[in-house]
Amino acid sequence: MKIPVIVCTLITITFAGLNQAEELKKEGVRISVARLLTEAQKYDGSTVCIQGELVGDIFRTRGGFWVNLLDKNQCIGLWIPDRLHPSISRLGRYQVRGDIVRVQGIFYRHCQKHHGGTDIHVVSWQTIFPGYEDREEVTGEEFLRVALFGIIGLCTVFLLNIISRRPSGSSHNGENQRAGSGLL
Amino acid sequence: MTSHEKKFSPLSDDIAESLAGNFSGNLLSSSSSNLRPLFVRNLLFHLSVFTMIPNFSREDIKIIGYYLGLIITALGFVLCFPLLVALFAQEWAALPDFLFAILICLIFGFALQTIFPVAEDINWRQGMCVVALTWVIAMFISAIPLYLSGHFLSYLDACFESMSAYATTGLVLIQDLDHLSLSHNFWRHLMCFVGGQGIILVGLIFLFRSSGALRMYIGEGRDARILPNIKSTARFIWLVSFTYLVLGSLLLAGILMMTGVSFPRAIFHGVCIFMAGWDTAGFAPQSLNILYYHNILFEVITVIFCFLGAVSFGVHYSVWTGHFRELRENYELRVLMASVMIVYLFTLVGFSKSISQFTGVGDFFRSTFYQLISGHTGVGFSNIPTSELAGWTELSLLGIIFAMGLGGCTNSTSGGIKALRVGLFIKSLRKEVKRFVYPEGASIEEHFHHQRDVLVDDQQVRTSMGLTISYTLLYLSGALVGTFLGYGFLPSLFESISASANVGLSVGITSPFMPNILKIWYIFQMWCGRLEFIAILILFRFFVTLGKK
Repeated sequence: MKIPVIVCTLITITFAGLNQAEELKKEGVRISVARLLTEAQKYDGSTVCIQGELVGDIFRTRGGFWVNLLDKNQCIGLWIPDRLHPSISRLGRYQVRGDIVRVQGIFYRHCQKHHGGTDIHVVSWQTIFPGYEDREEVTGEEFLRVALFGIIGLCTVFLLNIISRRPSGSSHNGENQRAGSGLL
Repeated sequence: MTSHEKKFSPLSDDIAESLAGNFSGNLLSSSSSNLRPLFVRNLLFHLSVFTMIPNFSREDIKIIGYYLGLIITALGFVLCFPLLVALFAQEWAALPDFLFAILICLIFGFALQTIFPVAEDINWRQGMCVVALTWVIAMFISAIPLYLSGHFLSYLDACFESMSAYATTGLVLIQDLDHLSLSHNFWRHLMCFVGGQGIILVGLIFLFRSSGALRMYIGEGRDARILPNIKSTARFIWLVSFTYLVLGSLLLAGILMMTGVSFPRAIFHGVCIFMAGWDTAGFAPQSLNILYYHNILFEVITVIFCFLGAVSFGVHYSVWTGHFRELRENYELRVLMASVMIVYLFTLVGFSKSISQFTGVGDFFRSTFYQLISGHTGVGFSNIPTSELAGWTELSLLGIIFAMGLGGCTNSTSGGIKALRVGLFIKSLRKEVKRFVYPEGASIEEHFHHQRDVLVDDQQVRTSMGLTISYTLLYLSGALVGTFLGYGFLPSLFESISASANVGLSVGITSPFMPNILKIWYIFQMWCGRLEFIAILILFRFFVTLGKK
């Protein structure tokens, strides 16, 4: 009785393991863009899984389009075939946070299809968090401070001008008077 | 005029004028029979220059203060452009940053003009001093809106970025560039344009009526008057730059629009990339630099503008006036082309063992040639990730290092030793060889064509060698500082040359987290490299005088 149980357990574990490995292979290696670029040789041609914010613009090309993904301080280009039809709600820009996406794709250190550029050809796509507007509140206080600074500064210059224009000595020529009457 | 000035002024002007003449290859002081090693002579030359410059009088300080005030006021007007962009793009949060900087310029500028009111023309020594000081003050003021944007870890980082833009270097310390406002981003690129043309050149158009303008123009590392009148020269440079700006920006924007980018975004990117390319700065509006666009045609166009930016304005003038022969005959251009080919051979040999990593000839050429041209012309655009460049073989990196160190043409927007000086060195070597081969007493002459036929003389050669050695010492100083701080020698040398020759390529050392001392040193190197030393030596003398007083 024991032997069939052990055999069944072993078979189940093996299948589960294989299934997991298959799943991992399908999902690709989860990796940061910084590490991917630093160890580009190691991951060249393999399926990877990266996550980050979509930033900038969309560039259309034949059969697909380009978009750039920002992961912390590192960016990488994603080439997305038209057939994937990903929905992009927002791209990261000034006061806009782009969609946070998780993509799986094949990493190419020198992509043959795209004249040797470093890129990822996206295979699957998942939006983790949609983008949103991140507007900075502008208060009148800031403008007021600048205006106050300007008024005080320009008034000081005006006063300096009045002081420096005071007649000094017996200069007859206007130019000479201007030249010689500095504060120094 | 004070008695002090009566005593020193004619002499000081002579010296400063002579020093300025160095840039046009007109003068060198030591005799040809001097047998001391060249670097010793160069060191002695700089020491003697420093001690030859007499103390500054009170009148000098007043004139320097007045002209400095004028230029700072002009900078305030330049700052109105990003302010307009902020208004147009409705970036209300960015408005106070620029208003604050404009007010500082106006207050500081008017205050200096009020405190030091003069009606006298500026002399060589004062002009040089104004130029060197202007660049430092412009750096500090221009960094204010950048720092207020909140994208820099410290004010020092903002100053680094600002000097990098003005000196058209292109090394960046900005954080999260992809979320920077359009107005701040535009300001980064406008600084490249203004710095590339020359901050003083902005003033030449708007402010100065005096002949003193020439003295400041030369202080910015410009070596020749293209037209007899300095103001006409300045106008011509601006005419060329604006014409190319319009054409280049439209061309780049057109390419982007073909890929579906909206018109305003395409124009913005086109203008920014053009300003950074033409002025050999290498900034880009996005963190991926040129790789962001994923467009081979876009890269080809940028290479063309890199070249145009690295060509002397004198050659531009010849072509504009229909003298196309200049393109074929100009010696400096020929040296530049030869240099590109030789240095590229270096890179090719460096990749001989690891060429298999590339998928084809086109791929290899695109990755390597683009960096080489970018380095040689001093632009600093990159179409590969920084980590990729850092992983190049040592010999390939050396190829790029040589390219960066040599630089583009004189009287262009690029930095480095410059092709004409390399060419002069080659000509002088030929002359020396001929001296041995030809019968004793034979007249040995070497000519070259650089807008006109020029006879090589020993003075020109020594001047070129002096500057070449000065650059080499500057390159090595940064490498030593980097090595001392724990970085490898080759990466340190690469980064140091990139800063000094105003290139902007990086193998990863330049980052917001590098030591502050290295940031300050790189700022100094960018400043020295852009102004070509003499104006800075005179400024040091000015500070010594102030210290004594």
